[in-house]
Amino acid sequence: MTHVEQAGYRNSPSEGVLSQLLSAAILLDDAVFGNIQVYNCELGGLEILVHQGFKPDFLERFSFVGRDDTSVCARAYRLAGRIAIPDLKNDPYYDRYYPVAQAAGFRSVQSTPIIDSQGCVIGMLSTHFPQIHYLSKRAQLALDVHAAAAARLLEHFFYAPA
Amino acid sequence: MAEQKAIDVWGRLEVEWKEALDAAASRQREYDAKMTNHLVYHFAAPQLQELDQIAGLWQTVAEKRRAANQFIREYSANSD
Repeated sequence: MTHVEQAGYRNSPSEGVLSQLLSAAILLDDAVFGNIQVYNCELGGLEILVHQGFKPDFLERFSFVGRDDTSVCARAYRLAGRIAIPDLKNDPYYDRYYPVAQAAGFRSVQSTPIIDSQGCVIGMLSTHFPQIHYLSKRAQLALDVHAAAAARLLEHFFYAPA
Repeated sequence: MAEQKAIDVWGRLEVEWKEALDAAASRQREYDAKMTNHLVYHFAAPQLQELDQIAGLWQTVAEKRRAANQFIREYSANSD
């Protein structure tokens, strides 16, 4: 059983809202894939809660990402700020993952931290683009709205009875 | 003329998307403010219904965005 299942995130009423919210975030700037991860304090990393568009092998590889990893989401976690990589091919930190990205069919990614009311990063909203992609200011603002909404939904889980 | 018409349609689709986004975010903030006053989230029937409504609002945001993206793709393809 994964942490997200143990913690009761899976199949909770908010999971359906998060899925719709993720769809909206993916579409807002013409991405093709995306996921919402939650931070697992005990294991020290991010786990996928909801996703769209990915194949099982990718999901298996990235079901858990340690916070010290070189992936974009882990770096955004450590920064506690959005990281957008227009072209993963030119990102030296992503070297070892680039073949995985190629196989999955994305070239560009952005990860926006989901920050709770206490200012802690509790998750990550990531969207993935098939081609080189630069985030517009409008998309950045909209992603922040989506991440803030995701934060409120995830916070509900923390207070929800097991 | 055709270009102006396309700009008008694009502008309207963008406004519709932004309005849907604001409505979803606002409705969710309202829900959260109400739920924050509860020490324990029970997820009783009324809350579940509200969450369904909020999910529907986010679905509308996605649909509005899809329509805008589709329009600009078709317009770009036809003007090439």
